Amino acid sequence: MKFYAHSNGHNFELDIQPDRDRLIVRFNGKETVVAFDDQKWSIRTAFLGDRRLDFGWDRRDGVYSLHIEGIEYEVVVRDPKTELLAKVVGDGPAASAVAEVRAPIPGLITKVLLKAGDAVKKDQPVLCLDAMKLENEIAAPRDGTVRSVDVQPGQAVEKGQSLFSIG
Amino acid sequence: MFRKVLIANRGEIALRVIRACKELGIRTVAVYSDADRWSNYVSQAEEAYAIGPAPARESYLRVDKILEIARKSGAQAIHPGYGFLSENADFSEACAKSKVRFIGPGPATMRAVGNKIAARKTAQKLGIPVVPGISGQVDEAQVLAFGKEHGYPILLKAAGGGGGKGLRVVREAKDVAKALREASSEAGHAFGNSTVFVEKYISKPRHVEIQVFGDRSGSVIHLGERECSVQRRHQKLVEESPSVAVDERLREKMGETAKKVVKSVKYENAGTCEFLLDDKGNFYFLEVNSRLQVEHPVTEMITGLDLVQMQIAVAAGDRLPLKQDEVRRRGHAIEARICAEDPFSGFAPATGEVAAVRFPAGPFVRVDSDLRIRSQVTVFYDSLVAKLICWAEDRATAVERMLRALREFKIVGVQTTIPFQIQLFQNRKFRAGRIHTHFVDQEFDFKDVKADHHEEAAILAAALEFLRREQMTPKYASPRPISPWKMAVRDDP
Repeated sequence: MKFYAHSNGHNFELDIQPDRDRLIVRFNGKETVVAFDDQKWSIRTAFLGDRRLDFGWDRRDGVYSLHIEGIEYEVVVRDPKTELLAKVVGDGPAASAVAEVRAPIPGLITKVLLKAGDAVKKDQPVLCLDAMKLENEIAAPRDGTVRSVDVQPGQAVEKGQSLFSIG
Repeated sequence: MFRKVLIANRGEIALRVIRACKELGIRTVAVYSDADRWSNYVSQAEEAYAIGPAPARESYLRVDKILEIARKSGAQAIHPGYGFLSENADFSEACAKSKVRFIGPGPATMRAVGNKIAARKTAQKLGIPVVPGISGQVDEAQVLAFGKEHGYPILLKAAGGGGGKGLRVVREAKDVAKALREASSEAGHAFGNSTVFVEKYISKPRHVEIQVFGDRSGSVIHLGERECSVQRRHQKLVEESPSVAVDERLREKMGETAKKVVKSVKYENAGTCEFLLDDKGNFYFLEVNSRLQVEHPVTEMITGLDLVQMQIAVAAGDRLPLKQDEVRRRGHAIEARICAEDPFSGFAPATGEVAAVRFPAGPFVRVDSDLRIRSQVTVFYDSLVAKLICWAEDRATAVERMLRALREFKIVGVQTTIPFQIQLFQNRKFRAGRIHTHFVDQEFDFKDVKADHHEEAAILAAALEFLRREQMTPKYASPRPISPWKMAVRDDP
């Protein structure tokens, strides 16, 4: 069985074959025998060849987050069909007509300077995001019109959350 | 002794105080903002009251609401923890007016030491060395004259400051005007006091502080030092005791100096005198922190004293439980602060829901944390999510224990500074004790090991969970029998 994995901008192709009670995984030019228990805990142990791997995991919105020695990895795994579909969608219209601006870091919205319908110039501040004890101005990526402002002053936002869009 | 105590704080320190109270048979009252409703500390307290929306200004800083709950619940005393209202003299005064005991120094003492300029003047009057500087609001001309006399770099500091806010290092005369403007505006925003003063910048100093304790009878003792030189942008990351730079004679000298300062202001309860220590063993008084410090467990581990219980007892009118010559210190303790920040992207705050936690354990390992499964880490409060404290007979053993415990620690769902701490405790200079307050910013090179370290393992683990989810894994999968000899050889390649 073929699978595709994506982590931190790196893409991998995996070939996984069940073999009795274990899996034989080929990827990155290596073959690894993977064995594991059948528990459903969030913190688990697997055997990758001779290496014992102690990892924590969670799954949100189809993204796996793996915790190994204090480091969080976000991994997307797809089967060939879904991978193909994702490619088609991802390679859609080259430059979208609407630019959506997302929060670069989590923080608190302190000010919203423009509203939907306002004309905006490239690099003009649209709102202020308070994070890491600093006030960060979030500016328009290009000239255009503010299509929507998705947040309000006082609101806490997560990293990657949509803030506003420019059309 | 009190029968009921209200804790005007949240998170790990609220839990710390609740634990101290329980062991003394005191009932506890927690307060919580909307964001903390399901927190661990809230469920550990006997009573809990909502005090408002998530922002601290509308909840944990609301003096009126906190006093109202103290009255309603019949709490006889309030423990303020650290941060929030802990060093607020007006709050201490309001407590006195409401006939509820503030567990900490009285308002007059707090006012006398709360402002950095006032504390400097107090120390100077007592003949205690302070860093050369001007104790008062300065203008551009004064700063330029000071720079000319003492040489650059110089340090601009906010009088009411802390945590690196309102602080600027000025390396050249041409940068004075801009730095003065920035420091003053930052201080005004953060502390409501834009007063800025100037000090000589001491290169590569150590930050060494002395824990002091006073009671109502006027007795004061010190409990030795903590070294907090490992800082990133003026935020402490690691604290330890004893300091490798402090011998018994210096400890005695610094301890007596600290006692002299706090005695002069009739200090009651726990406090900390901060000093800079230069490479020649000269120390300079910086300020008094009139509260329990984040890093107090380090002192607890080597003295065997429960500082929070001592705070409560002293506030209730008890005498200090021991005299200076009865203070015993043993071994070495280190604390690592674990913060919800992403060291792989410039220490940006990390937020989200904790999917799983596994605390390290084993001999001489202590974890102070309010985290549990499904805890929410938000941007509203400090990013500190856990304190890991390890004790051993000597520093080298304590460092190894810390590394072992850090590798055992799992917080799934939110990136923390654990990988940073792991590298820090492996660092050669740190292990040799060659540290100073600019060590992390200037000499320590955090390596982005994310891509090469465990990425392959992460991919395999994700694929495994994906297959399980799709029910494509073999049915009765179990660990392949592996030779225990092989397993024992290496933990990680």
